[in-house]
Amino acid sequence: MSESHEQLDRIFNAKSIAVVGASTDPKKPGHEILKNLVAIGYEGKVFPINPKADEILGFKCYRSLSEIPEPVDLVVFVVPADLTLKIVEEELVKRKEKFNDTVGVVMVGGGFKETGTEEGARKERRLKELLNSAGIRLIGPNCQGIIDTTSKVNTTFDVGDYKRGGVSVVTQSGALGCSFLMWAKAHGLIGLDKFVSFGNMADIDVAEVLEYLGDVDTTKVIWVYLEGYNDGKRFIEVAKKTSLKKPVVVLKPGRTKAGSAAASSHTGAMAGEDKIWDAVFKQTGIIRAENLNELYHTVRAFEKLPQINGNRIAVLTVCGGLGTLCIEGIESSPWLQTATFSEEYKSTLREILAPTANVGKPDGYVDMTGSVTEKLHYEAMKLTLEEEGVDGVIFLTTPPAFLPQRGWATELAKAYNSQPADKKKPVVAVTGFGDSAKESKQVLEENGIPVYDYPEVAVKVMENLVKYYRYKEKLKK
Amino acid sequence: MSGRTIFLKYYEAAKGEGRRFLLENEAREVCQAYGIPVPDGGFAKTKEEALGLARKIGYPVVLKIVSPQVLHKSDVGGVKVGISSDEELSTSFDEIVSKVKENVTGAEIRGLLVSKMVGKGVETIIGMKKDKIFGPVVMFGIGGIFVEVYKDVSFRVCPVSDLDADEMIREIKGFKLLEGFRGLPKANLEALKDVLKKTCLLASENPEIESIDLNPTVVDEKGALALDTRIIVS
Repeated sequence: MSESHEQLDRIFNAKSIAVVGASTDPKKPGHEILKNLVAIGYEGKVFPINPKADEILGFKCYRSLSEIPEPVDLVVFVVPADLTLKIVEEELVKRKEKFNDTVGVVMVGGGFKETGTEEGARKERRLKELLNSAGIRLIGPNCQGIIDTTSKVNTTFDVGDYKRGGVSVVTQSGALGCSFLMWAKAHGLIGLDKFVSFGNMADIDVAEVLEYLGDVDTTKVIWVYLEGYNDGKRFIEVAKKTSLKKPVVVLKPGRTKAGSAAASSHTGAMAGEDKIWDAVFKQTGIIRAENLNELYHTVRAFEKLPQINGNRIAVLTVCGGLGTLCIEGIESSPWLQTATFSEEYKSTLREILAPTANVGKPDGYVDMTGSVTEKLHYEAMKLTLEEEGVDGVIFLTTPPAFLPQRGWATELAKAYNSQPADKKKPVVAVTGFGDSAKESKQVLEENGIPVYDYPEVAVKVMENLVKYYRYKEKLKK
Repeated sequence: MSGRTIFLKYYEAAKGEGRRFLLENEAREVCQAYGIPVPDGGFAKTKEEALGLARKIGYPVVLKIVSPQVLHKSDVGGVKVGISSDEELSTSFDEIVSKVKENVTGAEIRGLLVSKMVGKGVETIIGMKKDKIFGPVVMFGIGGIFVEVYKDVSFRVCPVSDLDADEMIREIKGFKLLEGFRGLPKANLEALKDVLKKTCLLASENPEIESIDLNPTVVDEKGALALDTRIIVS
């Protein structure tokens, strides 16, 4: 195991956390951070540093870092830049000499390179130097820090408790990363593994974390918001390595001059020429999302679904309009093909479905019509998945008003999950009624089928599944 | 002599003269040293040398001015194509020299590049430029005079693998033109891929190079040839 991997492991699994700048004021981040540690259920030791309070949220306060009589693995600073530098130099480094404890610091506050001043940049270099020479790694400054849903370490002020799962979030905008988590939270659309917000990225950076997460078994897919990165060679090396192990989906601004300028001022990293980044993503097997919508919906599909092993997509629909829009999307996509149905499949379906049903016109398309039953959802989906000429299925429905949602959704999910684990083909669903069909969405999602509100989003997600499959084939060569 | 040695020789000369580009005959020689195919030809200091070269490589030929003051040759009358006889060559030689002297004040005429005129093929554009973050980046596109408008080009970061080269060629919107379109020959894609890879090698071994332009690189079923070679240095 590399030194970096070991250090990150120890940081994510910190058994004790000190919060310098802890606050009794519920409106301050120094309070929210403690609240979120409680909310997520962190069981390690928490040491709030606040010279004026005795306790906050049940944790005993200390007047300074020096006063903590035991080892502290991770220190979170929520005080201004100058005070942070002072405390690091006068107290933290000395504590490290005595206890050999602290492995990581999260500097939440700003006042460093992001200010665009020479003064700020100098302070940042100083902070990094002081910490690194004491064997301490730095996350930030100017960031929300980290979350680990297994160890329950949480230094953010935006996110409290979170469902555990396979998505890791790596972001150069802490607020945006947290937005994704909170957007998904209401409907339980994803489970989180690890979260890292880099801020100015003075020490621990995107490449280092991508490399680390490539080797973390609990991470199934990586969500990345990237504004800029200066070491091209390192990025390419790490990206290739990580993409081979799991999908990495990136949203990167910089398509326009304004975007590049905003990104560079936000992080100070070179946004770089966009066409070159496009090429880099293609060469390293990274899926580039064009917008937040695509990023969110793609990542949550990668978490739930098995890998696709081809690009022939069948459309199984209950609603003609939705199905038509969908098959058109598949045909227009340079990555996808419509599936091919065998004669036996077509004749069997024609027998079991209503006489008005459309089976195979065009090939790869089935409209069961609204006169479908719960049981038919199971049978039709099962037969479709068993077809050799089908690599993935998009199921679309309104759903029909006269069928109880829980019933047909359970049948559909049963067919999906009856597939052998090593040969499982992915299925995504579209409910035209959206949240007015909340129950069916819930049943499908709980059973591993991502549900979308629009056919074009389902098509785009399938496209990205196929892109990753193609990239992996290419990288393996 | 290795390609690097040849390049360095010309690089030092350019630096000495305060020039940021290699002369075309020099760029051509460097490209050749790296295995980038160019049409038969050579550098002639005098008309006699030019005639000798033309007879050796066979008409028709193309004449191009070689001058440290001239980077964009066609703009100043520094190029003549389709020269089919000794007589034509003789007249063209004089014409080019006087035209260039007229259009570019103080132009030092080192000589002329004589090269075999190439037949039908698809004009592509191959280039390299150094990116601040990723280093040498190679570019491919369908060439011709409208390339600035259509911008139908693809990029890949060096080093470019066989698969990368294949992908970047197929990515072009005008890829159909390379598959044998309306009387145009079917392009030898392997030859194009090879030029792309060799351009990467040329750039990677010579970090003093800021950009390379092989425009046009004409391709037919037999292979690809870089008709114009331009190397800009830092």
